[in-house]
Amino acid sequence: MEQDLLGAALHAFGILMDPARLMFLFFGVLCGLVLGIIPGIGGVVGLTMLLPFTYSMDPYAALAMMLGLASVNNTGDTIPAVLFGVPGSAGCAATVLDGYPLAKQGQAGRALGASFMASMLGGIFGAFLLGISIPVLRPVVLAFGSPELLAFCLFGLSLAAALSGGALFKGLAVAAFGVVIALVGEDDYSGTMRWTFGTVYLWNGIPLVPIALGVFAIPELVDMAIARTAMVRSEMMKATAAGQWQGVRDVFQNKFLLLRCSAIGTLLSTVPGIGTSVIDWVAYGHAARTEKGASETFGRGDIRGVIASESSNNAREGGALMPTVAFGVPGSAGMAILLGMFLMQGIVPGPDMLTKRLDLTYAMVWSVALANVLGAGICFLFANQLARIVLIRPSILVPAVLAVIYVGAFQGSSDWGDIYVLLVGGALGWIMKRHGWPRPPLILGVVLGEIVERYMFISVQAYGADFLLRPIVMGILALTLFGLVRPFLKARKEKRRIDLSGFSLQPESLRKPSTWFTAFFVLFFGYVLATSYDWDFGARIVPQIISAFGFVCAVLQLGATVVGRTVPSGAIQPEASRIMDIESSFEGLDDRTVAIRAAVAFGWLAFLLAAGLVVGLLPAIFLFMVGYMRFGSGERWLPSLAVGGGLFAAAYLLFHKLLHLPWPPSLLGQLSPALRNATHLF
Amino acid sequence: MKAFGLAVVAVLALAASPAPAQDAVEKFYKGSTITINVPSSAGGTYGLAAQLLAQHMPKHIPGRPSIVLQIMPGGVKATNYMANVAAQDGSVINLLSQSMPDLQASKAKGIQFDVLKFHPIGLIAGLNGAFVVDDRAPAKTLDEMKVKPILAGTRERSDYGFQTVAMLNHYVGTKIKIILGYDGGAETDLAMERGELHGKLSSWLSIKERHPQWGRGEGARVVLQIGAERDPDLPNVPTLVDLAKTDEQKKVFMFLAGNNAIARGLTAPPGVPADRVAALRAAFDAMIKEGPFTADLAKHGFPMNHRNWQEYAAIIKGLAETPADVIALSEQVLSKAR
Repeated sequence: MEQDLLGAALHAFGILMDPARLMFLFFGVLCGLVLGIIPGIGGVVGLTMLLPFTYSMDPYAALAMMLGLASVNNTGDTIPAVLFGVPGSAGCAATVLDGYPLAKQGQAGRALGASFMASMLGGIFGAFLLGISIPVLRPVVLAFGSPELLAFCLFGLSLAAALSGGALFKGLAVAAFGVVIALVGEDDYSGTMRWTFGTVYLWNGIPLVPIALGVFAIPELVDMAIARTAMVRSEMMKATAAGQWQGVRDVFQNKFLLLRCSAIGTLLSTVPGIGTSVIDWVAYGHAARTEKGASETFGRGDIRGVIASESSNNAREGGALMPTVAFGVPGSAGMAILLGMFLMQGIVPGPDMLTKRLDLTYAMVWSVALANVLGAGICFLFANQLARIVLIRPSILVPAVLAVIYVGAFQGSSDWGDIYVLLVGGALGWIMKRHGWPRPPLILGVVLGEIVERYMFISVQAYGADFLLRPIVMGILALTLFGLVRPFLKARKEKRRIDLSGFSLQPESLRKPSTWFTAFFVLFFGYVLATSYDWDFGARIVPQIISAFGFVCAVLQLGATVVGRTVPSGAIQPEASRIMDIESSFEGLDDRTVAIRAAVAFGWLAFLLAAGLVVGLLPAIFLFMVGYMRFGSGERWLPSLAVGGGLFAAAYLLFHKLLHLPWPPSLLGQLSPALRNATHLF
Repeated sequence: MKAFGLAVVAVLALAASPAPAQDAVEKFYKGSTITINVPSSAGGTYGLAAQLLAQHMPKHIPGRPSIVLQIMPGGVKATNYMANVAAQDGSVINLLSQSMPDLQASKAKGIQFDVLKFHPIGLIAGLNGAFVVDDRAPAKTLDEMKVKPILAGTRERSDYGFQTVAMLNHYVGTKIKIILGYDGGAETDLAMERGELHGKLSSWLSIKERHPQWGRGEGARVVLQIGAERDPDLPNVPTLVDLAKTDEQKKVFMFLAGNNAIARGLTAPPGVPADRVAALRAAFDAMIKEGPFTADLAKHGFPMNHRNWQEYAAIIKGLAETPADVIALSEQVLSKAR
């Protein structure tokens, strides 16, 4: 058998070495990198675009091109994440946490070097694991039923605690908040409308892309607008090439972390529904929990955070291919499109792919591995030039990236609602960041909330309570529980005691905005509890449990803020130690100035939305760009018009002509259907 | 007066002559792209049908535009999008999710479209549904299922996999327990393979495409098909309507089976100008007539029951205007189903 596999692997390598096929692979890689860099526009858009070109290609070339694109999407998306704190896709939000602070410290080269190397090795690891697991792939996938997948997801959700840093109650409340957000929409089991407020948009559920972009990208851009300075001075950029090399060395110094996080990425991505957007956080949470001194340095520019996130999200491709190839169950949205290509090419996923069609399966393995090498190679070549983006003045960079984010967010459900979610998420994210509430648990809650509910219902319906007695389930749940109680055990072992002295009411806390923000969470969970109690049992059980939990966490946090800071020592110190997230700091700016400038920045965001509703999003981008540069930043007319026109033209060519992205309807288009029909823009 | 009449006829004839319309349509489509909205995942038979259209239809459309896909899983979501958001100029057309006319007739929640205002372009195929049962299931025939319960899976209550099985339980007396929450056909297939589920309902085409061995009766068997007529592949498997014992049952079963007849059809959204709709219909007919498209359909296992737009429109209309008493009957059963 081993001999057969090796033979098949070598045979497939020979097939893929055909220059024409390599060219298609290279083309796919280039597309994947470019699309990865544009925030919100990810691999799925690219794969859909390339799909029609595969009809006339041989299956190996088609696979090489499609997998080339899919494999390096998470390599390219690192670039905006590190350089300006805006994740290029939902899959690298965790990279922002340490990559961006590193860039701010003038170590963008090092962060990028480590990212590219970790991405490449992670990607190769995923491909390798796929390659060697072929003989056991079907039995292993079959051994994991819904109860096991539920246990996996609960394990992921439990990492919210690790991702909270020193602010356990805040983190858990935020995770619960995320779960509630994920449950908005029609409930599959009873048809109950959960917090849809009569809108069709909410009826379909809130999509992840605008939430992730809102919570992670908007706050960084608003902060940049508030600070009004380029985040890095030019003399700090000198060491980019040497910095990259330093990053590569960092990866090899942390090889075991790389291996662990790659394994997490590969294994988690075999679970359908767990997309790239949560894998990076699970790996990051794992690193934060296991790496020495992580609680002090993660979120402040620790290269290990970058390595954890980047290795895991590239290792995903090999893992997502496993259920796709062995059972035709797509492990991700991108894989669903790949399955579409399989159908056209007459490739039937299933047992045959692991026996008679090993050539195809190994062609996929090699495509993923080679694409990762090529992708990282290209990034290394151009990193030097790309890193200079950070030197662009905020008056140009901020509006340009914001405009692109609006287009990206609209890909969530192609509805104006996506833009509203983006803005609400942005405001929420900014306040959280400003007042020390960790944002990572929110994404974990949003992604895993819905899946946990789904797998829980399936497990209970199909197995009853017996599902808890399955060995793998018991094993994973025990591991989850151990992770949760370990900090307490450690504290006990170190004989740290709860210090109850010094409790006192702190009236000045009532004047602090952070206290009121905490009260918001208390009220939110109270509202959720109050509005869901009379729903059908199936529709209310998860929201009630989660919101009761969130309520308790928020009340404890509020108590700790208002009554005093004396809390159990050790791992649970709500206010005492730092959170695991980027911290806002505006040197030399008082709170009032920050608040005014933030209001102005959000005002501009609202302007882009309003202008979009009236004249259409693409023309609004032009107006916004010119307006922001001329009136918001005091640039002169000529550069404002030139940059605004340039961005409009680039967006038109890329999004409209090349990617055929749809544009939201506008008032102008409604008033003048002829204009809309002539241009397709309004 | 007679001369005037002749002049009117001449003007009308000129206006109706295809040449200027053809030119305008060609000008519109030349060098442009048509997007086909797919109301399902790309990996299923909706995606396959759309890809075959993308491959074969462009050369028959004046101006030879290229065709790309837009994947938007969720029938109601995609149809709402087509009616309210998508460009209404012929640059975006769609595969109409098969249950939309039924849902409209049932006044289902969330519907913001009138399916009768869409312009049918042509029906690619009607596809029978098939209820497939694993060989390891405690009950392997419908009669056995009246005594021993089995587990079948689908996504949600509005799925036809839920509604059909609920009717079967109510009228035929089977004891099929429906497990909700699976995220699509591939997941229920996998759940069957690992023994979590015993059966499922999906299109016969997707069963034989994804699991050729099940299609041959190895490991699983089809016990029931849903459609107006038996699929040529399944001559010995009863249809749902075959099981009807009363007029009431027949009416409800016919209603349930109806949407299989319009399983994969192409429509244009309500506002598309008439000349472009006409050009798209002509292109569809020409594509069918030419041969390679139907040969590809056959290669991928589609039944050869494509229809022109008039026949397709008639079926949509019949479903959307299902009499209220039939809807009331089916609602009554579904409201009790668990």
